Amino acid sequence: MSGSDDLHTDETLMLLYVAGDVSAFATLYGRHKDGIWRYLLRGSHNEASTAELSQDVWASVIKAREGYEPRARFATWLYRVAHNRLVDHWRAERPQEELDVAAEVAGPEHQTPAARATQEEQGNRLMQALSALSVEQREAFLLQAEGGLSLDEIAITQSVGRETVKSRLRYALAKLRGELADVWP
Amino acid sequence: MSGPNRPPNQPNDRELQDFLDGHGELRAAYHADAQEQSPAAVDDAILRMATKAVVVKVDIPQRPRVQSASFNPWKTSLAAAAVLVLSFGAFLQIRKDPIVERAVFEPAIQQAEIAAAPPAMKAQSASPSESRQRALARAQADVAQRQQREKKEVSTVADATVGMAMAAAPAPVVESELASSMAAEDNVAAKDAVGAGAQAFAMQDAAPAPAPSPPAAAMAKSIDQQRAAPMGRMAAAPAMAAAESSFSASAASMSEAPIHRWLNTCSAEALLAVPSRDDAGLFAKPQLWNGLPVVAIVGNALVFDASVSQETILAQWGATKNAAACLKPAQTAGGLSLHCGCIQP
Repeated sequence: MSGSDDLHTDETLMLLYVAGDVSAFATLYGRHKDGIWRYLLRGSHNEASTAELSQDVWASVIKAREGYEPRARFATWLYRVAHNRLVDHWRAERPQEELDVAAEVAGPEHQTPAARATQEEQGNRLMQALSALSVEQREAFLLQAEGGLSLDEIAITQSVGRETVKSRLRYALAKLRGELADVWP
Repeated sequence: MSGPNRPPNQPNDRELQDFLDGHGELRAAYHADAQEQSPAAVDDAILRMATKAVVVKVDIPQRPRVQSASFNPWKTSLAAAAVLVLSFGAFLQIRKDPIVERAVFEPAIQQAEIAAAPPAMKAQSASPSESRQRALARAQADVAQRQQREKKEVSTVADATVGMAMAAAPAPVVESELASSMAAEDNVAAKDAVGAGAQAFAMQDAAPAPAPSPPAAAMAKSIDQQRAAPMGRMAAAPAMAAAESSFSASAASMSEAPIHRWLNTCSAEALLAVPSRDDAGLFAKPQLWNGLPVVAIVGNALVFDASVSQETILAQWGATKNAAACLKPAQTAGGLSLHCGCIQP
């Protein structure tokens, strides 16, 4: 990756890639690969599926190269592609699988305070609590935390209104805070 | 802002705003734990995919560029020389065109011909829409016939001129556009009888020619066909007066801004302001260009209503040429020429 590419915006890097600059794509990929990976991982709960989803998402980005126009922020567009791919994945999987996964990670309330305090990390509980959120609330949280999307951009991605997104985020944060209330510094 | 002091599970707007602003304990806690990264194997596969997508596209154009690099200099010069030859040849042809000369220098003949068929003129005055249809059909026929005449009369040099005419001369360009995008109009031109030859000449590129300068061959042909049912620029005074009065009466209902803005700015936005047209390319109602009614735009040319005189058009064009700075005259031949490259992307 060239040093000068790091100074470009995402949209400029994508346009450079459209013009044939592969190093620009490498820079762009480096900026977003882990965020997309975690976003897909939290949604699929499976590394193998995440690898496949991730390649599908970036393949869509590469394929869209010919007709790419920076009408929106690159991150907004990228996470919308990822969201759509994730939705397709959920539809293809059996619905109860997600519930099973959620049940597996849920359960801090069954542990004693001492057991909770001795858990590996506070963050581990946070991840468990995140998994216990509803799909929509978790998605809204991740789109902001990983993608840095604004309320309006999240609304566009989830195809809902702005206030709905605010409501989802409020309750997501409240639930997460509630899970960590007893160990919050 | 400690956790235990806040009622859990209760929405907190301040916490939400902090989160959206990139701050807050929850966000920090999440990022501290969210350390997963995409595996190197996945990264490699995706980057290979990205490289392959570009390499496939780049290979093909690179070879021709390398091969043709050495030819660029003289190829450009050849093109420039051909354009000059084309321009001069087209100028000579227009000056030599007997029909054109007749139209310009023998108005008396036309006056007599027009006087011989007043009913047709009156009928056209009374039906503007029919007049516009015929005007457009005439313009198309003019372009086609001029093209045929040029092919017959050109010499070896003119052959190259004709070949370049498609690129440089506005009239051939207009015709090529007609051929490619106005098939319906071609049908109209073919079927329409040579009846009342409504005055319609394509305004094409030109310098502000002096008064006696001949019009474009398209208009010349139009005049030629008007012999059968004369109605045109050189119409008799009564008919002209009638036509003009009808236009002045309806001027209030016409919109001048779109075409004038198009000529001034030559922008895509202005182009969009051009009023909607029917399938034949005619405006639903004539648009005004410096007070002159325009019934259609054919390619890059304005098609005026039959009642508009050549002299009037030239006078108006001369008055606005400074405003039409965006225009690119492709030839300096006399006649009615107003060319703007804005319509063509």
